[in-house]
Amino acid sequence: MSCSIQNRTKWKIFFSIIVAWAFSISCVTKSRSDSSSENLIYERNKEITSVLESPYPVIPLRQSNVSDAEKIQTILIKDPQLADLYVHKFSGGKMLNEIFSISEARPSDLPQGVNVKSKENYYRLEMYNYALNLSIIAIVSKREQKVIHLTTYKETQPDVPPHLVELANYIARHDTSVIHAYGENYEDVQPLMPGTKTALNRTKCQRSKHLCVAPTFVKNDKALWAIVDLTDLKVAGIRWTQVGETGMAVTQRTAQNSKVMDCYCDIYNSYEKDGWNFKYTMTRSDGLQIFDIAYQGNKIFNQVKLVDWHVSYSKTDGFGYSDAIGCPEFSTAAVLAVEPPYFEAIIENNDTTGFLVGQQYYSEGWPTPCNYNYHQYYEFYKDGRFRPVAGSIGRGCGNNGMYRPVTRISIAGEHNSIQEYKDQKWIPWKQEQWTLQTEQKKFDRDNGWFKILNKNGKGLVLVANTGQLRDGGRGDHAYVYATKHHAKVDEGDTDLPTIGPCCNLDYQQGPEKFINNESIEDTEVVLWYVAQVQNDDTKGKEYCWAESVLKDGVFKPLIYPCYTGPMFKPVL
Amino acid sequence: MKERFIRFGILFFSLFSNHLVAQLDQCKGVPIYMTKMGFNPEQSYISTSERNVMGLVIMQSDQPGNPRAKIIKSAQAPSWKKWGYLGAITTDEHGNSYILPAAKVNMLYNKVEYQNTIYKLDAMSGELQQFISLPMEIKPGAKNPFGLLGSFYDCSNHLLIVSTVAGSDEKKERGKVYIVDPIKKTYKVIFENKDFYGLAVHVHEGKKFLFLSSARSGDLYSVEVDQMNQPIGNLKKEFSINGIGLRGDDRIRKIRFTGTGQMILNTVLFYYNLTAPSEEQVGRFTYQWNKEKKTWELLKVE
Repeated sequence: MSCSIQNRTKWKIFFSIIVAWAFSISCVTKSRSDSSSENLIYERNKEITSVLESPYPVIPLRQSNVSDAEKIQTILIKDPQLADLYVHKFSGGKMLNEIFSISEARPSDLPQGVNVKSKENYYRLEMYNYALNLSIIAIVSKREQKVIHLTTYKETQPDVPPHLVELANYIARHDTSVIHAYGENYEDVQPLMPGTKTALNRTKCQRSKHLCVAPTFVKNDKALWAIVDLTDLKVAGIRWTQVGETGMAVTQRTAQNSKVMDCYCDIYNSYEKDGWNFKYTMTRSDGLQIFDIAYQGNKIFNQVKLVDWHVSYSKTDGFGYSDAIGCPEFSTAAVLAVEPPYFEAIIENNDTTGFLVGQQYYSEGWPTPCNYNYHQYYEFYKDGRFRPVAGSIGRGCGNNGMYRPVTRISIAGEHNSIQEYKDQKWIPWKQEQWTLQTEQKKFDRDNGWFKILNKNGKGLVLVANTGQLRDGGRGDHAYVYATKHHAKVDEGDTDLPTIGPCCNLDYQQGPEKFINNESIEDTEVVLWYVAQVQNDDTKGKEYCWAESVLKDGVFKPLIYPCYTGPMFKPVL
Repeated sequence: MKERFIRFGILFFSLFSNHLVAQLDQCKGVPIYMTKMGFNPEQSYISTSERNVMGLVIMQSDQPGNPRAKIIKSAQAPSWKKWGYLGAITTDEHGNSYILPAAKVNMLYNKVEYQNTIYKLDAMSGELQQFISLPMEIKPGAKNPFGLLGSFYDCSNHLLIVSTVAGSDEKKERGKVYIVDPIKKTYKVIFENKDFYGLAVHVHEGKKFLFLSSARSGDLYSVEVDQMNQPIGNLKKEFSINGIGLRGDDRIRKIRFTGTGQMILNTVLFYYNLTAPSEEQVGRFTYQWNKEKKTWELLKVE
C-alpha cells in the first residue's frame, strides 16, 4: 500500500491521485470520537467510577444463565486472596477488575482431590484485572460458600462477555478513523464476529498491554479491522486486509506500524498554512524531517531534522545510550515512531499564533525504567518565527541522566554568513566552529545569539533558549556548531546513522566530525544544535521524567517532559 | 579419530533408523582459552547478549544452564569488543566458536561492511578474529542494518550454515543461506532472495532436514538435504507462530530439537530495526512431533 503524494513525474501524479483517493482516508492523521459516541462510553466510565469507590473494585457480570450468579460472584469478590488485586501495594490506589464469565465447573476445571460427583456445586469464574493485565480463574463452591481454587495468569485475557463486545462495537462504529476508512454506507454495516477476542482473532495490543478486541467490517473483498482498546475505551489502530487473507496477525503493533510505514516513511507529504509551506517525511534514523521550508514564498530552510539522542548516566563511568529515532520497521532507529505525525494550533494568550507538526517516539515498555519516550515538534508562527523542538519524556535508566538531542538545521541560500553576539557586539564566524551556551553568556536583546544573514542583510536570528519559551523548558546549555554545506558531499543531507557516542561530556557529540576549518562566509551553511538537559526525579521538580500512576483503576503515565530548542526569528 | 567414528555412528544410526534423535550440533568441544583465562569450562559459557556489555563476554556461573544463577566471575578479552555488538554463536568439536555480528542499540561500533562477516573465536588463543566475509550486493544501511542472523554448525560433516538478510528492505527480500566450509574457508549459496533467521539441521525419521525460520513472519520451513546439507527437496512450510504467544508477532530466532522429539523455538521481536536497551522481548515455544498425524503440535508457550 502507498499513501504517497510525491509528484515527480506525471504518471506518479496520476497514480498518486488514484492511490490517494483509495487510501487517503486510512492515512487520516488523528482519530477522534464524535460526540454521539458518548452514551455507552459515558455509562461505562460512570460504572467504573462507582465500582472504584467500593472496597471491592470489581464490575460483576450482570447477565448470566447461572442461577445464584450474584451470590457466587460475591463469594469470589469478597475472598481475601484477591486483596492484592484490588489495592496497589505501593500507591494505595484502587485497581479495576471485572468478572467476565461464570459457568458450572467441568470435571477438568476442578483441582485434584475435589469430589467430581458433586460438580454441580462448583462454579468456574473468570475475572480480569485491567491494571495488571492479568486473568484470574477461580473455582467457587456454592455450598461451602468459599473459593476452593484460584489461579492467576499474567498478561492473559479471558474471552470478553457480550456487554464488552457491544461496547467495543460501539466504540469502533463511532470512531472517526474507522468511519473515514470505511467510507460510504458505513451506518448500514454490522461488524463481523465482534465477539471474537482479539487473541483468538490473532490480534493483540502488544504495546499498551491492554484488553483489546477487533470488530471487523467487511467491504467487498476487503475487511477493515478496528482494534478497540477496552482498557482506554478507544480505537488503538485500524487496518485493511483482504478477506480470507492469511499471514501476519492484525494487531495493535502491525496496524500502527503499517500506517506509519505506508503513509510517512520515505513518503513526502506537503503542508501549507499561515504563510508557511513545507514537505515532511519520516526518516529511518533522523526522526521527522521537514524540508523545503518557505515562509511567504521565500525558502528559509533546506531541511531540519533530529539526528540523535545521546543519554549519559554518569560523569565517570561512560554508561548510557545513543539512540536514533525513526520508522518502526526497516530502520536504524531504536526508539520508534508508532503513531503518525500530528498537527496542532499554537495558542498564546488565548490567541492562535501559529501551528506545529509533532511526532512522538516510544520504546516498548515506557514509562517503566530504561525505556524512552521522545517528543519532537516544529513550531511555525504566523509572524515568521520558527522553532525546532526536541523533548524527552523520560524515563530512562536512572535519575542522573543527561539528555543531548542533536538537531541539524540546513539553512537555505548560497550566500549566508554567521555572526555570534559576543562581548556586546556581533562577531562574524569565518570558519567552521562550535561554541557553548554557558551560564555566563550574555545575549543581545530578546536573547539574540546568532545572526544568519544573506548578502542583503536578510535572514534569521537564533534566539537562545534560557527557559523563557512557552514549553516550560529550563534552558538548553546548548552547543552550536556551524559547518559548510556541500551540495556534492553528503554531510548529513541523507539519513545519518548515530553520529556520536552516548557519553562524551564535551562538544564531541558528532557534528564536530564535519568541522575542518572550511570557510563559512558567503556560502551555504548548516547549524547543528545540541541541547543539554539533566533529568530530575525530585518530587515537585521532576524533569525529563515519567511515572506510572493509577488513574481510573488502570496504570497511566504521568509525564514531566523537558523541551529544548532555539527560536528562529526572521530578519526582514 | 575415535571422535569421528562416534559421530559417523550417530549419523548412520540417525539416517538408517526410524528413531528421532537430537539435532546435529551437539559436539561442542572444550576450548582451551577458558582454562587459560582462569575459568572452569564446566561452569562457564560465552555470551553476546549481556546487558550493558558490547561484544563477547565469558561468564562463570554457580549453576550452569540456569540463566538466573549467580555469576561467579566474568571477563572480556580486548579482541572481544573490537567488532562491536555480536550475535549468534555456534561452536565446533574443537571448541572454536563462530560468531556473527549483530545490529543492536546503535551502529556506532559495527561497521556495515562487516555485517556479513563471520568471526572466529580461536579455541586455543581465545582471540576473536574476522574469519570469512560473505559477499553483499547491497550493503546494510538505514533501511536494514542487519546482515548475518542465524548460524548452525553441523557436527556430522563439519560444515557451518549461516543465514543473512543483508541488502533486504521492506519491498524486496535479498536474503541468502550459505553453507560454509570452515576448514577450506569456502562457501556456497543454497537459498537466495529469501530472508531466513534461525537454522537447524535435524535427522527426522531417517532423513536429514534443514529447518529455517522466516525473518519476516512467524513461519517455519523445512527442506530435505543431503549429507553435505545441499537441498534435495522443496522448501516446505511446517507451521507458523503468527498470532500465538504473548505478542503474537515474534520471529523464530533459534531452532533446537531434543532427543524426545520436541522442537524448541526461541523467539524474538524483530522488525529489521534496532532495539532499545531494555527491550528483551523474547519467547520460547515447545512443539511435539505427533507421529500418527505427522504434524508438529504446540505443547507450551513461555
